[in-house]
Amino acid sequence: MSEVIIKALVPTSADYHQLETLHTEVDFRTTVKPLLLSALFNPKTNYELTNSFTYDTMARTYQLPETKQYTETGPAVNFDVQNQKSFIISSAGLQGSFTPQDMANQRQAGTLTFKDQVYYQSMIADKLDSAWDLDLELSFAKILSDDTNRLTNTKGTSYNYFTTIEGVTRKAYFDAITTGTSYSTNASGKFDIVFATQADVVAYMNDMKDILYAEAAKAGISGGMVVAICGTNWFNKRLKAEKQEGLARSLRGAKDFVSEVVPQVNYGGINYNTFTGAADDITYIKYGAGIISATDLIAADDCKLTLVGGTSNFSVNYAPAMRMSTVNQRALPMYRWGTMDEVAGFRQLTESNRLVLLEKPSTVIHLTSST
Amino acid sequence: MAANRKTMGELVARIGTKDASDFGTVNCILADVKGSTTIAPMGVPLVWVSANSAYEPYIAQAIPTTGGVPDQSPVCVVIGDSAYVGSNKADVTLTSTAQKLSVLYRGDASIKESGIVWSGSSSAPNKAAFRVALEKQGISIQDSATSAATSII
Repeated sequence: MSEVIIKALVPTSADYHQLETLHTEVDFRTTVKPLLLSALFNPKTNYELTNSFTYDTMARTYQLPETKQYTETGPAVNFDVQNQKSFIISSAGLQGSFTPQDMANQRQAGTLTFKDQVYYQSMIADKLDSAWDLDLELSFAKILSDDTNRLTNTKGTSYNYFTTIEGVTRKAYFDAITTGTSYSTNASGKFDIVFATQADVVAYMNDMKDILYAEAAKAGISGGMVVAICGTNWFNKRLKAEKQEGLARSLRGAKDFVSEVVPQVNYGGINYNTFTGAADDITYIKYGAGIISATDLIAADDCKLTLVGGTSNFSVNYAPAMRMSTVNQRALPMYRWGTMDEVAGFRQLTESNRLVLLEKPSTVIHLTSST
Repeated sequence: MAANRKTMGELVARIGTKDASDFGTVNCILADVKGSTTIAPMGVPLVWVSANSAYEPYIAQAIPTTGGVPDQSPVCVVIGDSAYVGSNKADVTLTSTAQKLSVLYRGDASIKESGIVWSGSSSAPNKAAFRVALEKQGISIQDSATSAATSII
């Protein structure tokens, strides 16, 4: 009997004395990894020596000259106030292990080869790496959704970046900006665009874009393109408006969405529907993805308008691991420790101590469509 | 049509490395087990039943103060058949005659909650009581990390 036949044929599970062919192809199912936000935002990175950091803030205010008598000198300007913000970086970890008994007598899928250390280590490494990728995406999504950092339990310090950095709630901030206009926010500080009754969607979005540009200029965020990261419903409603169904004239836009497919853009192996508004030049991307079961990263009725590609309004701040060889040293984005014991087996620990920070929260405008 | 049988790593997260060279003798032992069900010998919680002088699968029994292992631990977890710690080659049918199974009965060790094969009749308070007993024996239980269940739409 040749070795080839030995490897191809195995006893059946029902009758040890019968043989059946073992296919070498394995029906291997993996997890799709939606990582649009990680691909879009290009955060600044800070590698700290401590697990907290601080920075000073200054706001330049301006006052106007007053009419005066020729013999007077005019009123004085006030000094600008200098302030300080500080943040504590939370720690997160994930580990995997296996014992000699996990390898004993076990074969790898699709083969008659024993499971070995390489098999388990690569499986664990794959699971751990993917987990950290997904965690970063969830961190961005959490900030976009409610301005807070992602914590999975009560360990770690929670921040609402908007109130911490801007000093007021999102609603109060944007309502103050739009005082005297027809735009106001809902209780969550989201601009609620009712597509069914909104007479001019493009004008609405252009005004939102103007607010964004003003906030970006104030915050020193330059360049970039205006991107609307949309939940499924919001995207479909905006696309419907872009289609201009019932139009009784030649289409002037570059694309006729009534008869043409919506373009797609590929991030990390996954295609996302996208189009650029013909009259508002905003790039809309549909992101209906979820990472934790039944929870959309961007709520279906929501849309987040921001600038990407220029100066990033995000930063990722890393703290060093509190271990003998790393404490008080310059932080690394990821720590891995492996221990091998002849009896207890292999154990791999991973740790990343990072705070994803939205440094300029007002440069992300929240939109929704309640109806 | 058959999933691979549960291996030891699906139950054990960590065994104290200081005692690692003694592993198998310090943390685990062969114990007498009785019962009336068929189990896979990996992850089944056991409790000492003094009337039967054996451990039996835990459902909702009161946790006693004595046991059948050297330190009288009242609870333990099946971690293999009689061959060796980690061996799970075939199901074991428990009877009123004691059978030897490998059990993890004391720390320093951590096991995964997902690796424990609870009886369907065990309520949340039953499980909590068992967990407390295990913790007292130096075996900590790690809850599962949140599962990623990704979607595109």
